[in-house]
Amino acid sequence: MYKGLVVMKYRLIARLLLLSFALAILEPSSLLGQGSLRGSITSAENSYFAIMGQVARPGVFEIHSTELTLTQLVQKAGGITKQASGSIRIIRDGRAGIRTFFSESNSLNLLPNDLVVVDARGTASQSIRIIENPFAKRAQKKQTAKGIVGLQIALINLIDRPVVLKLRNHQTSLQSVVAMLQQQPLVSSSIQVLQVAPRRSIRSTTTASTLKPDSVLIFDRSRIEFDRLPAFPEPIRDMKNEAKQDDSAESRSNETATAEPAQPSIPTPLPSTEIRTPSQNVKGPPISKLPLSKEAGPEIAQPQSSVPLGLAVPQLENNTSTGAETISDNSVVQAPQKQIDIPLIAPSTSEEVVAVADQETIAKSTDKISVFWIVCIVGLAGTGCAVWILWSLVSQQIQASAPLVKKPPEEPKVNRLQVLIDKSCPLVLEDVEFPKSFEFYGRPREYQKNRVDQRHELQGPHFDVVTPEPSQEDRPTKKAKHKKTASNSLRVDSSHASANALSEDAAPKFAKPSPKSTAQQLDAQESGVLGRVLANFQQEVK
Amino acid sequence: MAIALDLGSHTFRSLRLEGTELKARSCHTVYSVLPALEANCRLLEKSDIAYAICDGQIILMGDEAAQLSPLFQKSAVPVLADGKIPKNDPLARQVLATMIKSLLPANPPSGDLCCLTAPKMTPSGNDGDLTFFSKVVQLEGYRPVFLNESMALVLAELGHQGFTGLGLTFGASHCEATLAHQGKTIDFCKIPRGGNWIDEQLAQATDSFVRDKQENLCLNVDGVREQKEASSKSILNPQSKFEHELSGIYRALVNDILHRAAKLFALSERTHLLPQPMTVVCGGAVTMVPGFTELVRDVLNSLEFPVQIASVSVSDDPDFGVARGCLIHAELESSTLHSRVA
Repeated sequence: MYKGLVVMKYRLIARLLLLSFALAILEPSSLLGQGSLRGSITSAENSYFAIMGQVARPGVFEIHSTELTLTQLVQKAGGITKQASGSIRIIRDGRAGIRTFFSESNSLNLLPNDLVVVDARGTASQSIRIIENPFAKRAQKKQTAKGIVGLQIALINLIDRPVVLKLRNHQTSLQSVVAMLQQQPLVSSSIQVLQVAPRRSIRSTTTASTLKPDSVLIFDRSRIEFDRLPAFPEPIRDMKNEAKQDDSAESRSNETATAEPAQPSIPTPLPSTEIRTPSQNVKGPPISKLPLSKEAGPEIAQPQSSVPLGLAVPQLENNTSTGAETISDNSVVQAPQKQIDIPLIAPSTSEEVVAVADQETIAKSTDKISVFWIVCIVGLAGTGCAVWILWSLVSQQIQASAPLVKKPPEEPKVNRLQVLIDKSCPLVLEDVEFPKSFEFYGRPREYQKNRVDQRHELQGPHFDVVTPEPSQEDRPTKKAKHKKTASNSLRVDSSHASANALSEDAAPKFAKPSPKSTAQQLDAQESGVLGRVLANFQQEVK
Repeated sequence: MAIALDLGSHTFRSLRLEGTELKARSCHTVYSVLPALEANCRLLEKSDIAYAICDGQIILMGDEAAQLSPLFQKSAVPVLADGKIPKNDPLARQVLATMIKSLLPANPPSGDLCCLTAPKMTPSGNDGDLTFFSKVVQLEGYRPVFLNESMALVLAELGHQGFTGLGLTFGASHCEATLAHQGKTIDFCKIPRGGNWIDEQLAQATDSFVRDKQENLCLNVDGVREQKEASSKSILNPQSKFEHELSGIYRALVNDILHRAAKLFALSERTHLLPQPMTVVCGGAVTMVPGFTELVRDVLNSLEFPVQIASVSVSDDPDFGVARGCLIHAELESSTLHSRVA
């Protein structure tokens, strides 16, 4: 019986222990208390939230509050870029246990020293609005010229807050990072590297392994030589909200003390619709209101001569477009001190297109864009009106100064055929102009059609013509006889030479001359000089 | 733009329609040969008269040749003697081409129609003269279309009768008669006599002679023509011997062509199918004498003409009547071509 009671007592104790352990797991805040565990690494007043990856301004933000939602942090980081896949990892206490999707309605509460990694586009489908940034390519070229690549890494468990750095090309190996931190090379073997896949955490086995973008390096604090660490860049302070946050510090502290710990959000797909336009313009975190000076950041001691250049603590470059710190080869660390208003379209560190996270910001940006376009349209319209008025004035002056030129009257459309049939159009006689000073070829002939050859109509001679009898050999042919007869006929006019030129066809046209004409011709012959000569010649022959 | 060419034995004429005006050109178809003296050249150049040089002699063409030949005591040489192109006169062919080029406007749109008539041409004739004229017109950028004179007269004067009727043309070298129905030739006949024949017969009948510079005795054709054109009395009522001779010669010519046409139409079967009575229209320079219409009507009455005649008229524009008909034909052809293309 006693043994039974003892066994039950032990069982009860075991159950109580199990119950307490379960309660501790389910409600750690109830056991540990908010900030009790992180009291060593979190300052009493400010909290640090880090964000890296595909956001416009990665870095560590110093907030005067312990309560911050994921959306607010992304908003402070200037929004996510177009390369963002929407998948977000939250590294908390050196563990990659929370993964969620970004949306405007995601009210996941972050805890101080949380590191938010916005993954790049890879497998997840995108449903976010992208806005072109025309100045991004130029910035990217500048960064490329400087040798800066978009390789961001985060360091966890190194100091009391996460550290987000941007590495150069030659610093992308784990060994170079360890050297940069002035730690022993063996430290690299204890570093846990969380890369793109959150569940595929890789414990580095070789120090020369190349880091991938958005890698998270979780250090083993037991092997870190803290006194050799260089000074890290200052976090981006939310100075603007300091006063407000100071006013409500007490109330918020109470709320924070009673707030439930953040539960891992169930990964939900991105909304099918595009991200709504924020209705409120959000200014980026005032990186610093402090004056820009080298004293703003702690000066890192120059490396010793034995330390190679690559191991020297690089200088953090202050990029106005990003909150991420780039460690350069110089030893001076500069915190970003220039106050930057987060643009409506978040400028990316290396990308030109961003997806705006805050609906209010986008709303105000849209308002500004619409105002800009309205101003442009009004300006163009005014310019066009001015040009038109000037042109009309100039054209009027030109017309007034130019001589009046009468337009040729348009020819009326007439039915040509009808005009010709009706004979309704006047006839205008034009002169015929032959070409001047040109030459014809050939020989002109004399026209003889209307010449009257009277050889057939003349009477024979008035004396007997004694012609010798032609011999048999000399007897002419019929044609020759005709010619001879014709030649014996006495011609009165002077056309003997060209008589043969008269065509035979012309003769019938003057077929039968009248007797009167023949008599007249005989009178002309007798009265002419030739007639008198012929008469005298005939008498002498008789 | 279509153009019409009336290539007559006595005168070449061209006609084209520009806007609402008919632009006409004409020139006599003669040339004369003058001695190439320096004084003659200077006189022609001062008078702004175009001339050409051929074998060391001056060649005048057209109206200038007809007007200046008597001044230089030279005879004008017709380029279309008896309505034919002289084959033994290369100069005449060159002058012919030059005249045709001068009658056509320069730089015409390529492919324009040029409807032309030529003397001694039959509707289906295709002799060397037509080939020559066709090539000359083509060289000027026109597309030649041939049409006989009497048919052109029917198109010009009988448009309101549906291009149906009898057309009679009395040219310088020949006369034609065409029986047309709706713009198509039904029958056609011609005789190789015309105005020149009348002048020669009249000069011979009236014993009108003249001697040229070489003392050759020639018929005074020009003098008789001037006397004929100056007469204002009707040929049906002759008073003087000249008028009697003129009336007799005219009657003989009209009787000849109508008698031949009557014989042809009587033999044609299509003639009886035509709507009758028909209108007779006469054209040509021969018809300009007073009383010609009555003479034709009188001759038609004396003949047993196979076609009933409604009226006889003379073209009110005897000079360019044929050319106007050619232009109508060219316009009809152009519209037909355009409709085919469309």
